Amino acid sequence: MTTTTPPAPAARVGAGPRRGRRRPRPLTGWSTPTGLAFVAPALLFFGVFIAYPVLRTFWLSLTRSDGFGGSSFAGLHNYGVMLTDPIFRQAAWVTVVYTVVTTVLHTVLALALALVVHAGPRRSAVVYRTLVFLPAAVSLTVTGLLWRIGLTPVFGAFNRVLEAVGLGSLQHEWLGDTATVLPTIMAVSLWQSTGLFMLIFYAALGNIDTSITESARIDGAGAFREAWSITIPMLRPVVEVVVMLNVLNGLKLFDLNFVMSSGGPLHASESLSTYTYLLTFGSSTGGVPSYGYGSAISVVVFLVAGVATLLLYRFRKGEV
Amino acid sequence: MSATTAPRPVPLKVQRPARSARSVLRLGLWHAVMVVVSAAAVGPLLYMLFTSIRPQATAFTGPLIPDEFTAVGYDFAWNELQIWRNFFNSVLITGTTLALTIAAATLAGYAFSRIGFTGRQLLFFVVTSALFLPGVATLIPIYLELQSFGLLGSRLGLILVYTAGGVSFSLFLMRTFFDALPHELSEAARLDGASEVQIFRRVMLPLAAPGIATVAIFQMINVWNELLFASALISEPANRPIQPVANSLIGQYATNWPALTAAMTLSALPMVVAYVVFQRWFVAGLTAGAVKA
Repeated sequence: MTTTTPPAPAARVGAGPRRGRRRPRPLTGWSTPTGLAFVAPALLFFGVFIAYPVLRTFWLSLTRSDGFGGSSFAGLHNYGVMLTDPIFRQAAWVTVVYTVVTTVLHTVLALALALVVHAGPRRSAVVYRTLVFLPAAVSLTVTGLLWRIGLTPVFGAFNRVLEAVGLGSLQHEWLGDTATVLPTIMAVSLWQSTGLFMLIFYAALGNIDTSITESARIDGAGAFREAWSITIPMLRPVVEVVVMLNVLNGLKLFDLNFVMSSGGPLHASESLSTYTYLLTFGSSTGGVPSYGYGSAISVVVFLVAGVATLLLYRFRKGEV
Repeated sequence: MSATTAPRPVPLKVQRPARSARSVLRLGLWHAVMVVVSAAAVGPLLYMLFTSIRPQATAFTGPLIPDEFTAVGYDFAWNELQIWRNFFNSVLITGTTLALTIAAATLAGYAFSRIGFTGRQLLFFVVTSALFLPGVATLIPIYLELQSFGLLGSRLGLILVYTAGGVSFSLFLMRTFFDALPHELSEAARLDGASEVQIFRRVMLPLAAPGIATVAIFQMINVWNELLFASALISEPANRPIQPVANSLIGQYATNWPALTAAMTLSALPMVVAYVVFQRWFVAGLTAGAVKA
């Protein structure tokens, strides 16, 4: 029944740190059996379908399939294969480019949009906010399919709109050209996700103490100056969260390029996730799924995501 | 600066200044910008809706806004392609996953927030460190694991995997929620001799309803929209949820745009409606999960 000193908030990795440290929290009670009983179901799911699979991915990445359903220890063989695999290099490049570009564009556009939406009268702002968010309520699968249809040469809505506004010369087989497939997918991601991040910024803007911005306005600051010098710096923690979410989403890239181009043409939009999928469940290996090599790539994704999380977290903490 | 330090005057009913021509112009400009942005966001969705309710004959060359309407696309997708099975699978999978996630995450979130036990910090750290985990990192072992459990290709297998995938974030959110609840109530209940389980069930659980709503919405959207695991773990069309089916249809019925867009609209509709209805909790969850966290 004693209230022991509660632990400092732990586990900030990936969860994002909370700014203000709370004062120590009194616990309701101290009881190890009760506590463990309460967390047992969650731990069971976590252990069986998260922790064990992660460990097994590491193990599998060190094995090689013998082609008859068995496998043998192969050391770092798969990692060696990776170094000379041009498709892997391409997939890594696509994943990084996609992550960097979408992180920057999503964050900047969403922030700008949130500021603009927020600047208007509240009632209309809520209506526009809802409309702008709607694409984010639609799954990436449907988004990908919709744009795949819309970008169909000649008959797709996109090319027809271009034609109608006199830009018919810009018509292009957007998803069939190795040069345009990735930019097109990034643009579609922009259409789908900006609304979500806009909403996060918008919600945060509502929490900003208005007396500060009011006083700035009294002191004669214009709208841009107010946004740049006061609002945006105050939103910094939120910007950091949005960046983190975007980096993690980008590194996971699967749905859009899987649906829109199956990673093609010629692997021009292959990401590490679609490549792993292809190696494991696709037909590229002639019916023999290469669990080992696929797992090695998964390990790379895992490590990159882990390192990115740690770096972002350190960056955020260091700057407080 | 002085404005913040000066004592605040009692708010008076200030007479609104007459709108200057400039402010009217600015408001007009703002509306114009917002209309353009909203149109860019909603236009493609309307295109999907319009294509789904038009006859195949006008799908390629008819006007973008159809002048003829029909439900043939929906009829074909729902009955011929038996999308209804997959829609039902998605409802079943999402609903069951939600119930399991909420139960596990609420219990664990409460314990991590309020009950002292050995290993509490370490366990919380380990479980929430999975928040950054990319799905592909566990895909292959989960595939093999379900195979050995005999659950590969089954809806139950997918439900278990989704529950595990949502449990870290959900219990993190629930802990944040329980942390914010006042301690006086549970203390009073304890003094009245209530047990830990009673305090949880009678006192804390009802108060946590908004947190549960937030967890439910996020998990619902994630599960309904998931593609990677759904594609990899279930290959039998009758057992698949709706997202991978919508995706595989485009291979077979590439030119039947009304049926395709009907299937897409059906798979998108529940989440669009859910968002509009539950907007308040969704925004609250974003602030709790992203901003405060």
